[in-house]
Amino acid sequence: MIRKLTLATILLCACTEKNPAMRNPPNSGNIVEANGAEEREPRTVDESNGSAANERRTFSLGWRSIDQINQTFAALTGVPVNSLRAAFVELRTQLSTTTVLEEVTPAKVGAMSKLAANYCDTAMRNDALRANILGPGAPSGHVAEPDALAEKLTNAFWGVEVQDEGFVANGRAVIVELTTELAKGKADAAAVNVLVGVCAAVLASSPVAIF
Amino acid sequence: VALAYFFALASLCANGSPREVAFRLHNRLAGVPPPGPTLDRLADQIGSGDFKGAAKEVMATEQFLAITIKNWVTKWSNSDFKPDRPLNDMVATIIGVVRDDRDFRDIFYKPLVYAGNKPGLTPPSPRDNNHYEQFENQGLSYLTDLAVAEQQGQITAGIFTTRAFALANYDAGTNRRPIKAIMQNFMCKDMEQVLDVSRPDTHVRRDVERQPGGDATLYLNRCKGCHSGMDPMSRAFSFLDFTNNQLVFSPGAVPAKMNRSPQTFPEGAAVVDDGWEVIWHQGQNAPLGFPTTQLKGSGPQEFGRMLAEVKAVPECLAKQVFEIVCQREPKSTADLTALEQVREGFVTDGFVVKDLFAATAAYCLAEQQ
Repeated sequence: MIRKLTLATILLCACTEKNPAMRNPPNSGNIVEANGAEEREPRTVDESNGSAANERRTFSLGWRSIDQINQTFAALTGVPVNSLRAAFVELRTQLSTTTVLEEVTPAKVGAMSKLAANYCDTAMRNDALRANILGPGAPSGHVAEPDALAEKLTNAFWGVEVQDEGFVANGRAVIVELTTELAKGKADAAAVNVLVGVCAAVLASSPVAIF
Repeated sequence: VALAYFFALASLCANGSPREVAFRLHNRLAGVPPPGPTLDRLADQIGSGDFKGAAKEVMATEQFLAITIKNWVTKWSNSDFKPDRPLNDMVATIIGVVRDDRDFRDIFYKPLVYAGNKPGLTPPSPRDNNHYEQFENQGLSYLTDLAVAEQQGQITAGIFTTRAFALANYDAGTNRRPIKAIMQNFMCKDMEQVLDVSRPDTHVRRDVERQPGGDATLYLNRCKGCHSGMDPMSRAFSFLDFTNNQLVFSPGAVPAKMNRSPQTFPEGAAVVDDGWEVIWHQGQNAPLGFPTTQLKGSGPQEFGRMLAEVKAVPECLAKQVFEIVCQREPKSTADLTALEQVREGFVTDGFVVKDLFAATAAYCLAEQQ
């Protein structure tokens, strides 16, 4: 479990670092300055001429807070919220109470990853729920096709049709790499564990958490 | 408002696909991504120019009430200003008012309360919060399992006579806390921000030291600034207390806590009844817009009616909704102009909270293209 969660967090960070689009996906538009620094505070007037007509557009992102993240995970995996109530109650005090991106801490990301692992554990071990996300087939079959797995998971969780194509492609490459690593030396019987880990990594990633 | 929608839609069509806008709209208003068929439908609506219809559809979801509205208003119902607290009667009532498109100001004085209507639930009790916690823990629906009822008790004044508000604001203390909460939650002002030493201190109670630490200037420059306006308003809640785990109303009998420490400054104002007065209609707080025809009254219900007319209330609500939907504070000239238009529409159209969300979303999502 620890390893899975670590990988989930790593993927989250990797995606954020590797993809400039992640900082400014089409559904957000956070200002990215020329030097790459983000700013949350709106800049009201173009400094070059001070004209209100030239005001810069300002965009903001939010980080899903406690109930938003829980309900989002439930909606995306098909796992009823009430069936994981105990896990949620245990983790809720560690999840973010605000949607302010700047207030997100590693501990909050960690708690979110743990919650994602719970949802994915339930979803991937349930034939019907897994089929809803990945299509029919045994876990080993899905793991044997990492490209297809990455595509299905991102299609299911990321709202890829409204995400930047380059970002999605890069993200999928990371997921393929992760799947391949996790599956190395594993017997078919352990394939479902690989699915849980990869699912949790995708579910706990920034395209889901940031809105 | 119609013009605002027009420009917002023009911007949407010019700059973003209806599908992207629909995706964002659902995320921002419901707090969760839309299911596929919903996304298709919302995109169609937005594509055909019916942004408000799309927003209304999102606001008809369980998640809008259970996540967005609940997280927003739960902060108002506890003294820690935290969103992650169990459901209570005050929050359920506000959720119901939003769901039913009632005039939001009803929460300040109408004798209404919302509760679960599902058989098997423990009935609401003035002594505990079990009913509402059960409602939440059983995953009941705010759309179908929540119904309006008449508040019970000798006194009714909207949320001010709910158990949750009483627990947060009348428990111990000196009943000044309700004013602090009202200023913070409904006028977006901390007490520090309304400090005005220019107003007379005639109504400041006896428990406030006039020379704290032997220094009168501290009182004159700090303490007086808040107490001069807060103390006469807080008298609206004079007959209310929270003891033995429930709201207690004692008509005609001012609880001892209201006149605590009379020896501190015996010449100060004594609380003898629940007659309240507003003096912040003048001075630096005049822009808050207290209604000059309702500056005095008795009890929380009349106070609530007065509060319903305060100009700062719709401004504050519009600002809070802006921060939820747009995920930032309104600061730019464009933001502030839009905020004012949205506020104006909210007031003109009868204080319907869903309209406030829809108009704000139209502005922010148009902007985000």
